[in-house]
Amino acid sequence: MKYIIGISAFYYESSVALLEDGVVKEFLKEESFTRIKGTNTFPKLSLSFLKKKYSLSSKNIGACVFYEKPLLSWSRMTYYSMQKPLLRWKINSQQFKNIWKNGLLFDNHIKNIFNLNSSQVLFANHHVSHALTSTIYENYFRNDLNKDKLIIVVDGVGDGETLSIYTMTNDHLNRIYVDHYPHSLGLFYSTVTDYLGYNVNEGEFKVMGLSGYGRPVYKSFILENIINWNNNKIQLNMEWFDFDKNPEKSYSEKFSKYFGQKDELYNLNEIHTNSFHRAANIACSFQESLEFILSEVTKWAVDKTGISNVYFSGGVSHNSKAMAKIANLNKVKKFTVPPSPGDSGAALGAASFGNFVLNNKFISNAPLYFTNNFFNPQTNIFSDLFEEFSKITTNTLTISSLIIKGEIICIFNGGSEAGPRALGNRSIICSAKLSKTVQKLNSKVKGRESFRPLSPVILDKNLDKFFYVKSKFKHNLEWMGLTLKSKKNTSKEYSSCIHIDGTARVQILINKELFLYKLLEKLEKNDHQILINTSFNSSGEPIVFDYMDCYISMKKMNLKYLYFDGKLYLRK
Amino acid sequence: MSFLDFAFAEFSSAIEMLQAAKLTDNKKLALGFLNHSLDEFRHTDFFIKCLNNLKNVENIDRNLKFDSKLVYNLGFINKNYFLFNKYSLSQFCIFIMINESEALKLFTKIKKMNFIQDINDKKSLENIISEEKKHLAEAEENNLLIDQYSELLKDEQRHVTLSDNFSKKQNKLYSYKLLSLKFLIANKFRHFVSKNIYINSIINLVISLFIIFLSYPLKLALRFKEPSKKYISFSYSKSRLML
Repeated sequence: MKYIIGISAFYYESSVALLEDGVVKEFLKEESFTRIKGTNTFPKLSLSFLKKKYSLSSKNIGACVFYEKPLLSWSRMTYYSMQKPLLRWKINSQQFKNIWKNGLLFDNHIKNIFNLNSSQVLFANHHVSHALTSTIYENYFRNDLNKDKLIIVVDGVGDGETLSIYTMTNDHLNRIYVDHYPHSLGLFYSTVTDYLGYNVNEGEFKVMGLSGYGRPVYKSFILENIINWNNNKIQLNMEWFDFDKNPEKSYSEKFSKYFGQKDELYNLNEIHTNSFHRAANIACSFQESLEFILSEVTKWAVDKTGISNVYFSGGVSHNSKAMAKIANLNKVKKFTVPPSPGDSGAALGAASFGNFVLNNKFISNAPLYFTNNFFNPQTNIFSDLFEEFSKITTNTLTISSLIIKGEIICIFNGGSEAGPRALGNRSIICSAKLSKTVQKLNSKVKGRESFRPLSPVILDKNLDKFFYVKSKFKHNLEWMGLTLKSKKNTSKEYSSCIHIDGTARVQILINKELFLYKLLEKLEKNDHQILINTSFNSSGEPIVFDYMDCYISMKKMNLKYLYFDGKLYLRK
Repeated sequence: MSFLDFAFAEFSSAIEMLQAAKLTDNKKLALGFLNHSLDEFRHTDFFIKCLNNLKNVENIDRNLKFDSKLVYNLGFINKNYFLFNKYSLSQFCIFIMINESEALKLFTKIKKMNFIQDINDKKSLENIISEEKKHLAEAEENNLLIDQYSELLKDEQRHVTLSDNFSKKQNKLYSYKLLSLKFLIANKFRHFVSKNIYINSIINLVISLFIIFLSYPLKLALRFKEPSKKYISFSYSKSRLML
């Protein structure tokens, strides 16, 4: 038996993927163990957990694959900043100060845990890892028409690359296009995130939510002066950006002068203020510019290759609104974005790379839910923290009646989900029909900004009643990969889950064995056909990983009902 | 800057206590650590709220943001281990005691300053101070219990060799003082480093001067040719390279 381990680390959300004889067995994020959101250190705790669980050793590990080429990555970035050493001195000094904090010492880190030989340590190109991540869920694509794939990878930067396009035919991967730092769509969007006062790599979702409230008043200006796609090349006008000069600030003085001083935008919680509308217009303009460029890139790539079976990956693919825009392009005949297209998911791509190097086969059978990948604390104090709701076995009927009464239920059921979205195993749910409950869940319980919508979950058979959907991208809805336009009746009946622009990031349920499927079937009889599904975590913390995390989160959010592996409990 | 610093300190303490709750095999301690962790999470939220409220005040740097990942870079949490993994229970308790007493001093100090205007926020700070006092008492009590238990064991050993036991006792007191001093210095140093932006500026400047001086030869060394082949190689030999 040979294991292959894929590892993503040192930039954002370190993670580990484990293959056993070519089958994906585990996918773990380091933040689940550390409880620090976005942990980017070497995933020592995740690896130690797997080492114990699977008795991993140098004898049964085929390869450990790092998701990028660390020396290539470091030297490309350093070479760029050294072109103008005086102007980019802050970036230069950061590059040298952090030289040992990237993957250059990956060999040593991994050997400390598994005592591997150097021959067992491999390095995949960053964008290749992303590209391979996008193809590992083939088992979910039920109407595969075209085996040739067009893979578009867009992120901030990885190995010095920012956008790359590949074709994949019969396991042959060819790169047809690449853009390099600093001309990056990811960093273009991060700049406006930073400008609007949110943390880069975390606040992009907020900017996307905010954009729904605005009008694209600056779009043409942005496309004329800040970013363009001329001569089939993405070009950023660097006068508007500072991310290549200052590690602490992404936007330049020129940016501030044109869009207004940031100081005036500090409070975005009041929806009807001038400050909010101005911020929303800026967000909307950047969002639409991003969508425009991505659409142009996709159309160009489809024309050039003749392949209309499009896959997207890389951090920018988390932008479900932009993904919906691409998926609806006439030229795209089939569209796929994986559940975890960002850097953490790239560990799966790295593992797939390792499997090809050793076994000449890419992986294509990754599950959406993993089994038993949670932590068991040393001491069992579960009964001190929770009590059974009823001595009689709880069934979906009990829970559905609580939901109808307006209760909010936390779910910790089986193993966790593959991507960053909670899909029913680590979720907080309530009825989407009860707008007051939804409002309470959004702002009071989760402490989210009022302009951010919550996502609905619905049975596949009911989807057409409420949303406009096309078969070419429907499979992505199993993991909330993109947004859908809602029908008129939805906005009336279930307004709480529809964003101001009439869209929603919908999850559909197909598998009848899922707990959430059975629950929705019961609720349907009482005319509650849509549930709200948000991740089981309080503001700023990672998704829960064991019952102690459940207790901490529930206590912080003041929630009392927990459905834990087949039983309903009350928090003490 | 202080509120941000306090938020980081309280957050790292919450994380350390949560890890301790998960790792201890003592049920009573697990419950105690878990509740302590919850208090510290609440304190973190309080200081983040104070920080956000401050953004309404003029002349305050509105770029200050709480980002939990920074606890590593600022030295509040070690990248390689959690304290409960590294230290014995007795050492862990001394660490908590020192840190809680330092936090208590700082919180009492900011209470006297007039940063917090909101009456509810003032009340929250009062609560935090009383909770910190409770944590301090608990930490001292735990340590006392452990010492008592150690004393009991040593009593048994006394029957074997009185002299050996005596020297062990001496050594324990010495290490207690040494550890207290070590943790106190570490605590002060951590806060100093996290607050002190000047140290970073000096390091940056030195590195930059060095790079500018070497820029031309380094530039040449780092100039790599773009691979001309479009075909992505999956060969074993190439995949072993970092470049």
